Amino acid sequence: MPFGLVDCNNFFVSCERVFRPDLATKPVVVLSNNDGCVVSRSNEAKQMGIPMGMPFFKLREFDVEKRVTPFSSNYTLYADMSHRVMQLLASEVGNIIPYSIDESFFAVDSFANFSHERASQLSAKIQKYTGIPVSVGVAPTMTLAKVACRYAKKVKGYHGACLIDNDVKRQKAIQNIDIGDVWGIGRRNLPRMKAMGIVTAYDYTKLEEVQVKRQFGINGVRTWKELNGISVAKAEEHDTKQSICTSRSFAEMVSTEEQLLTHVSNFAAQCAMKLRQQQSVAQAVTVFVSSNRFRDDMEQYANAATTILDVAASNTPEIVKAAINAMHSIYKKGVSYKKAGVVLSSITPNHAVQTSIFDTASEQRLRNDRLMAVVDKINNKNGRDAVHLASQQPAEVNNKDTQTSPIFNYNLRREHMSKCFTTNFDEIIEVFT
Amino acid sequence: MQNKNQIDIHVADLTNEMQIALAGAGIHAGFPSPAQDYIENGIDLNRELVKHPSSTFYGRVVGDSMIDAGIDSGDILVIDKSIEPHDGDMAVCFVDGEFALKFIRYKDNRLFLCAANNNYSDIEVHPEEQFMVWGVVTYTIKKRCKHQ
Repeated sequence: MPFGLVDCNNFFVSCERVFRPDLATKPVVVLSNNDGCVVSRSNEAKQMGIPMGMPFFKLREFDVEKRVTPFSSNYTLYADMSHRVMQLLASEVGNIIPYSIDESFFAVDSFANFSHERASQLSAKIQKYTGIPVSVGVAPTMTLAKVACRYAKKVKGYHGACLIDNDVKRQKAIQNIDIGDVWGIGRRNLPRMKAMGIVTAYDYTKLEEVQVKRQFGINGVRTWKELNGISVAKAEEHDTKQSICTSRSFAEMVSTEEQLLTHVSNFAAQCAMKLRQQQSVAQAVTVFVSSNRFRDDMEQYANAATTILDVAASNTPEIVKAAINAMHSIYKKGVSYKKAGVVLSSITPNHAVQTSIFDTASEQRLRNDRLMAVVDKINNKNGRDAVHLASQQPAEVNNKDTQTSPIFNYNLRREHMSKCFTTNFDEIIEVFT
Repeated sequence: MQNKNQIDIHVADLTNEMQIALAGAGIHAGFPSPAQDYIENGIDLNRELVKHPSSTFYGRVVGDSMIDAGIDSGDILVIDKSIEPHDGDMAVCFVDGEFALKFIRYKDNRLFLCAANNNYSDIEVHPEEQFMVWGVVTYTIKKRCKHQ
């Protein structure tokens, strides 16, 4: 069964541009927390040679005021715009598998039912409805869908969509992709690949499976198979450096919010543990739910929402709290849920967390981190979830106070912050007559 | 509607809300409110006024050029980006670097933006200008009670 992928182009920048149409063709960048460094660039900014991660003070060399428009990150706005894209996508294609705040996979029954025209119409519709430009890639495997999406983004004549629906196209597509740009290929493998003469994804697929296994292990084989058109990536676990996912189809359908909360809390706790294992922190916590799409007789519903943390974190309470928050906003009464999942994205190594010098909660966070280290140790010894949060069990969850906690309220520098046009009634756009 | 001045009035079911308030005050923790099952029978304006949640945005009016259409400063606009603008639609346009509320008029293959105030003349939009219809206004909301 083929996979589709919808990827928002330059997502954070695109969110800002929805409310600033005058910047549609101008260089725009979005800065990380505390106006630290560049985290999203418009195509124009890329063409000017502004690299990802460039510190803001260095950006001044580019004569910022005159040529580049910088924005502080407005995660409230991005989370809402992400929700709109996901919601629309879910209503268009049914089962979505969000991969990060700005990407989502979806299942496609067959290429016969999903032409290039359909894919480019989907791209156009999402852009028209939400204002966010997206690329759509469809291919026999998730990894190839990622490849297809790159082409959809790069080649103007493709009208925002690219299908890899036969083997000729597959071979052609992977011949023009650097192996380093392939989803799931770790950077540390690159020097070895280079030494072996592997430059493109195509070169990699031409290795023998035994050789791939010996050199690059089981994950290397997965990617190798996927590039060869054999689907092995499980939607349930697509953990990579950029995103961590835990999701499950339920044996029995779940309909109460309490039950769903328990599952989502568990998934979030698992994600947080994986995150700590790779010494990273995440800023975006996405929750998705869907009904049983094979049961036409029941109400069909699928949705996803994202909570953005002020400061990227990896401790279970914060991640779970964010997940619960997101879930509350999409839970619909009366629906029988077949599947739910949690995705962490905007992942960075935990030594690079952007905090504020006025960060009064850092001590709290350190304490939390120490607590988590102990919890992980106990759970390693005594089995997973030997120690867990109350919400991981079907207990009453206090949802009123999850919005903002005084403990985790940071003073961040946000000098170029746009308004929360879609989530704060006092900040909606002004329309002049 | 047969009579011109007939207005369909949907009575907001306040009794339900009353019951909840009483339940909250009188019954202690652990007892579900019997009123909860009725909440969904109320009228949800979000559902009625927002056909496309993913493409609906809100705006606030600033200025007086639409007063003859009954639109004043401070009114709230419900804007749907998904709707194709038709002749006569009220729309949020992006002109000269700001959002502007206008009526869209197509005349002989020409596009005009029209105000609803005699002090403002129609503007013709030329193809080379930076212009877009950002969204079509589906509803306007006006506060009527000034002392609340």
